[in-house]
Amino acid sequence: MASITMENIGKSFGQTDVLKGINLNVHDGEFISLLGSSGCGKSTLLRIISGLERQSSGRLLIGDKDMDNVFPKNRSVSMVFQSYALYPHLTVFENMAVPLVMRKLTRLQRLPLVGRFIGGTSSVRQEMRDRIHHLAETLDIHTLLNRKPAQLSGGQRQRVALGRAMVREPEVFLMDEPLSNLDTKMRAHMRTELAEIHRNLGATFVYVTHDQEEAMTMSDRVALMIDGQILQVATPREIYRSPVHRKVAEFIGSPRINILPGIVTNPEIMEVCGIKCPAPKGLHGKCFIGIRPSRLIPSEQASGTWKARVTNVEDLGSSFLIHSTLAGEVRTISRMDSRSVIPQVGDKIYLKPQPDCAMFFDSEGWNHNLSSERPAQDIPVSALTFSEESHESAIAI
Amino acid sequence: MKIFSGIFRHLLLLTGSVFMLIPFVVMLSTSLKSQADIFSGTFSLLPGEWGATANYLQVFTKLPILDFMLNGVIVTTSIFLIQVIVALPCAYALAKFHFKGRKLLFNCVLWCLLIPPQAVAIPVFMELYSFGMLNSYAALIVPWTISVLGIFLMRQFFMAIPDDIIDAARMDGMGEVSILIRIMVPMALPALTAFGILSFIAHWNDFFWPLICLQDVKYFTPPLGIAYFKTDDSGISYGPLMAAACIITIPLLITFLAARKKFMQGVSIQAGVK
Amino acid sequence: MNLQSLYKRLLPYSFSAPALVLMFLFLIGPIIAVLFLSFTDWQLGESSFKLVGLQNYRTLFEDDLFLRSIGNTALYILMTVPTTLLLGLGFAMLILKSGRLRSFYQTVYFIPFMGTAVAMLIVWDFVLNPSLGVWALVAQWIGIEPINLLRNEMTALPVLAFISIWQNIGFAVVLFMAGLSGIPQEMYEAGELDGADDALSRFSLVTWPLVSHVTFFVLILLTVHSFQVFESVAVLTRGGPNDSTEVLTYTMYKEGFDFFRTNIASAITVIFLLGIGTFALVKAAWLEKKVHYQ
Repeated sequence: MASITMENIGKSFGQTDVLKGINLNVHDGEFISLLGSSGCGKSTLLRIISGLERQSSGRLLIGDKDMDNVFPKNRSVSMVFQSYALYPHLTVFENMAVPLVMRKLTRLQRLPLVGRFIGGTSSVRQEMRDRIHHLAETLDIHTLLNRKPAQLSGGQRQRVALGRAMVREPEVFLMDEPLSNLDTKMRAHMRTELAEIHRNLGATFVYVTHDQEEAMTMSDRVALMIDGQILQVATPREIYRSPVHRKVAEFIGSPRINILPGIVTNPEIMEVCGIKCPAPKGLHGKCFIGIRPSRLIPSEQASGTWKARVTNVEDLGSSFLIHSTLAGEVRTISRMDSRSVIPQVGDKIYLKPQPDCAMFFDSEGWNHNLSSERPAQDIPVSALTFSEESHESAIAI
Repeated sequence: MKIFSGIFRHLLLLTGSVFMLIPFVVMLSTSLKSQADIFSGTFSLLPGEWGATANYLQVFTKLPILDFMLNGVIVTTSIFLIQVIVALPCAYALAKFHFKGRKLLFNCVLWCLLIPPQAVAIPVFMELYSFGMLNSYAALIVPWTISVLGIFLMRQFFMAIPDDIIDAARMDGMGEVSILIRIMVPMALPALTAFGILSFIAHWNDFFWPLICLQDVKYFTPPLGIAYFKTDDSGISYGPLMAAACIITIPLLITFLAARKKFMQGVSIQAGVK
Repeated sequence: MNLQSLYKRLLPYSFSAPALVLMFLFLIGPIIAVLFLSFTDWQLGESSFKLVGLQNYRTLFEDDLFLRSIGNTALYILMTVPTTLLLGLGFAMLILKSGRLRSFYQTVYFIPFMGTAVAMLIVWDFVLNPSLGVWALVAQWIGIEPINLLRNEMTALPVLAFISIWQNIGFAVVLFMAGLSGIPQEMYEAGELDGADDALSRFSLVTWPLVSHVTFFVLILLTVHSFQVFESVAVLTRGGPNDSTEVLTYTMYKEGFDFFRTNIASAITVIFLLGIGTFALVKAAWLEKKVHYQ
């Protein structure tokens, strides 16, 4: 088994820097997701780990071994591709046999016809056959072994691709958006299955995805990448609760977190969309506060809350999403339980943040609560109060 | 009205078909006639007097026609094999690698597509002359080992193969040569077949180049061989001449009939209309 | 330099090196050589040469035979290309709707293209024989004197053109059928709703515009092909009678490989290239744009 260490890895294609100094330690046996929108460099990073691409700078170690000059085939690494990349002219069995044939047989033994008369070929081949059949059975594709990929459904192809990756028992699995070509139901199913496979194999999984739900549900840790940099590496729970940066907060969580622009006027007092409230110590100038949709809900109170107009209501069954517009054309989303009283489009409502849930981001987007220069907040977040200019009442968040 | 136009359509098409087939019918029927029957002054489809045995016997005894055919097969297969060995790696590089000079190389290929074979005959003749390679199999084969059309067609086909498959093969432990042989070629087999057919038609039929570079009858390809037979025999004994024409044409026609879909696809692939 | 990236960097070069070398040896190099030789007085076997500027070209354009050769080539193209094109399109349209016999007709029309060209020329020579061939029969049937078509100054070139048409119709038919079968049936139905209910208006409204790109390409292909006419002249007429079938490639062949006047043959080649180049250029541009595979 193997850990992966990336030290200051950079990659540029011509003038553009795709990766800017990536530092990441993947522990042995860990399931880590590289999460980010398309073009953030996550696939490039995966290809560097696989050996298909070489970094422009920095070091890559797999199991404490420097991977410079180690070709993909000599790394104990398998990859599952988004398009599955099955060989269309080979049967399922042959597809799964390729990694074994290329590694276990010598060039001479691989020759058609002649090869089988060279010593040891037949026993190696028998061993390969056994292994493929066994693996096919655990993946439930043993009835498909003689079919060509074109005759398989998406889910079946997915399993074959997994089988091909698993057959040579690598220490590291790399997966490049493997579920994105499946329909929603199949995707949910494969998620559980992948997690199970990971548990059973105990190998290291590096999983690239743009779908935060996949990343959150399967991973031990999530590495969020934006613009060729890793902004945060943390457990799903941590990355949701304490995003280091506004962009992380915006990426994680669905529907998207509400970001309200504010400005600190006097020390420790800030104005957010027409409402004054105390600001945490050290925060100054322009800033943002973030509130998750489920924490920003309509209230009866008119004072100390945001006046809003409902622009759209989405019924999700178990809950409702209320889209509304605050003063200054700031749009917000609130998630309400389906049993509460649901406002109508056009209604004027008052929105109130629940206590203890606002995140403060400074003008550059960093989470003020986590900023390392300033230790813990002086004011407990729960004690923060908002006050509207006209009324002098205050509300707690 | 509909029936009438249908009949008219088939009438036109049948007339055309007769016109298309006449030379073949004449060839076959004349090859079966005796010399006296041919010179009887009236042409008839069926032989009045049979002379098939004599005609074909004369071809096989007087003319090394089987050698001509064998030469044709040797030359066309060698040309195609070397063309493939040369063109495939180049097409793969052009389609799937980024390297300095790729654009230049591809432009070279495009410009070379413009060159008609007759235009390079004089310098190529001189080259072969200075290597002492004239009048040999090599003279027939070597100048055609480079097929820019082959490079071009295969590149277009390779471009359509997803990069992921190639990357998967690399992860599975294949080297680039293995990828080319085990992945690219099997996937591009339809294009390769089409290219093979084009190459075969072009070089089996070629008359211009063998005429220039050969003197020795033992290297003659079928077109040159039958032209030689015609002049050699002063054109009087039409029976054996037509028999010779039959012998070199009919195997080709049978191959064509057996795989006519592939042939027609192969021919239209160069026009970009599948 | 890292080993792996060095390997990756060198690989495409080693893959394309053989092709590049051969391309220089047999295509690019020779073209440059021909161009150069056409400005010299070098003839095969001589040990020295000098540059003579446009002298060879001047000689050529003062030579009646060469001018005749250019004229004949042009005439031959004019006789073969439009006819093959129109007959090809016509037969393709007929065949497309001929029901069960469709593949039979297609095969029959394509057969002349598949016969070994020189062998078929020799058969034609016999077919056109004024005393023994089918031609004698036909002439007798329509009641004219069967002249020797290939030995007659007036008829020799048209007859060669006629044979070429016979050979290439099938080629045009196959290309047109590929183009025609790509026209969706809805287009005809839409045309019918717009009032195009007879054959002629269907053709002008739907068929012709939608196969125009194929037509264009077939035109170019046939022109390039006709430009290169050599075999029929070499086998059947040898430029005669009275130079009436002298064409560019044949003149080039005679100058270069009969008379060994390499300089003159090179100059002819250059002119030949210029003529064919225009068409071939369009063909290559088309290919680059058009040939895609799914």
